[in-house]
This record gives sequence, structure tokens and C-alpha cells, in this order.
Amino acid sequence: MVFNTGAALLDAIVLAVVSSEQEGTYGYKITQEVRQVIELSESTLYPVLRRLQKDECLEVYDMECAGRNRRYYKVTEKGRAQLNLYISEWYRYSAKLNRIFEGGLKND
Amino acid sequence: MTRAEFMERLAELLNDVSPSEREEAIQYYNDYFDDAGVENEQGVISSLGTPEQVAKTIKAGLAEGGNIGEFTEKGFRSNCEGKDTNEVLDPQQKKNSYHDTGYQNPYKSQQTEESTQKKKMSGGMIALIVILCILASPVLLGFAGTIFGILVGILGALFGIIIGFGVAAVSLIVVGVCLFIYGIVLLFSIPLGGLCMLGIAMVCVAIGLVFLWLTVLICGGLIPVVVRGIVKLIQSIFHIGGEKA
Repeated sequence: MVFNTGAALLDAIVLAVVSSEQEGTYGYKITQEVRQVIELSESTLYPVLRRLQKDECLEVYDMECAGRNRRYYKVTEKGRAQLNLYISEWYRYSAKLNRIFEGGLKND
Repeated sequence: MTRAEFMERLAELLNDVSPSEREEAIQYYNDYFDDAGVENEQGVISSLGTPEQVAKTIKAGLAEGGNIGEFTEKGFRSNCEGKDTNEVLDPQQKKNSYHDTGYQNPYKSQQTEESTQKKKMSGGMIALIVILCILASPVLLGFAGTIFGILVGILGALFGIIIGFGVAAVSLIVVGVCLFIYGIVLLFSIPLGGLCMLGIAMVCVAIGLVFLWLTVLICGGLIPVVVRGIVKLIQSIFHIGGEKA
């Protein structure tokens, strides 16, 4: 990928991925989904998830699955508000960029 | 390395982390292996990197208040050495990235480079002009010589005219005076011839006086004008030369 993913953008991606599952989702699945959009080492996401958890944007709960406990992540109210903020900021930002890029194309 | 070995090593490495954090991380990676499935065990291990790298990432996340400071605008750079999969920039790009911590201001350095180039160019220009002057010196000398010759010629012509006019005036006056004396002498023997001779003498003196007047006119009027003109010409040439240098 040509463009970099900053911390805020990675937070937003993770929150969006987690919030897409009503019942929450688990680390491996989150990692795989995030890795579909950005290049990321598999060990990168744990600290991010842990931080979001500490910031009360994510909550965890354990659920019995195939005879073992699996840790699930779920977006909290705060996390949802944060995600909405990220999304609206992203739209503003990308709209500005699009305007500039379209202007650049017109002048070609 | 098997999953058991990996987890054992990771637990060992996380010994200096608080028990709750350690348990949290261990649980996460145990889950991770479980969810990846036994068939993907080796793939996960090679993708995660060494337990040391994973432990370092975990600790970095804890140390920086959960904020992995390596998330800069230029993307994520894992705190574990090596494998920064999310570090999108290649080293070449990294050098040019103005977000680089070792930001050397590439634009500034480029500018200074440019300005030094400009300075060098101006120095080169001077050298070029000097070389040009040296190479053109035969032409310039020829040109100067021509001007000098023309000036000398003008002065010479002027001098010639003055001398010619002066000599003509003096000789005509002298001849007139001689003829006048001869006419007076002749007046006693041949009165008509004497009168005629006196008339010729007077014409001669008159023409001589005209030449004398012309000479004085040239000396008094023309010479200062010509000299001033020449001086001006030389001054202007030197001025242009000065400007060129």
C-alpha cells in the first residue's frame, strides 16, 4: 500500500470491524479482517485492542465456544461515539482530498 | 517452534509485566492460536514473528500508556525490531518522508544545494568572461588599435592642415612683403610694373592673412573640440570596459 495508516485511522478501522458484528467478535477474526484492508503484522493488533479496551471503547467478554472460552470484543457506547467521530472526520478529510484531486485532474 | 514452545517463551518474557496484563496477553494469543486452527499453527507462528518480538510489542503498548508511539503519521512501525509489516514506506521513501524523526528538511538541503550551484555558476560565469576576454583579446586589441589609428589619423590630418595653413599664410605674407618691397623699388624704374607688383603683393598678403585667420580659427576653435571629443570617446570606452569587468 502506498499510503500510511496512522494510529487514529487504525483505531477507526478496528472499531468499525468490531462494531460490524452485533454480538462482538474475537481477536483472530478482527486481525484477518483488518489485514484485508491494510498491511499489518499479526502481532500489531493486540496492543491496539488492549488500548481501546482500556479507553473503554471496547469491552470484552468470554463466551464458551467448542469447549473453551473465547474472548470476544464488543464496541461500547463510548466506542461507538468515537467511531462516529472518526467516520465524520474521515468524510470531511476525504472530501477535501477528493476536491483537490479532482482539481488536479481538471488542470491536467 | 511449536505453539506450546512459543507460548511458553512468551509467558517467560512477560514475567516482568503485571500478572493481569500477562494473563490478558497470554489469553489473547492462546485464543488466536485456537481460532487460527491447528493446521495454521506454523503459519501463525511465522507471521507473528519470534516470541521476543511479540513480547516487545505488548510491552511497548503498555509502556506508552496504551499508545504505541510508533503509530506516527507515516504509519505503524512496530516496536519489535525487524518485521514491521505495517511500515509501508520503503527505506528510500523513508529518507524522503518529512515525517521522519531524523527529518533533515530535504527541501532546505536541496535549496542550499541549488544556491551553492548558483554561486558556482556565477563563479563559472566570471571565469568564462575572463576566458572570453583573453580569447577575444586579439579582436579587442585590433579594435582598440583601429580606434587609436583613426584618432591619430584625425589628429595628424588636423596637424597637417594647421601646419599647411600656417606655412601657406606665413609664406604668402613673406612673399607679399617681398613683392611689396620689390614693387616699391620697381616703381622708380617702371612705375606701371611697380604698381602692378604692389597690387599682387597686397593680394598675396591678403590671402596669407586669410590663411593665418583660418589657422588661428582651427587652433583656437577646432582643436579643443576635437581633443574634448577624443577624451570623451576614450572615457566612454573605458567606462564600458569597466562595466564589462
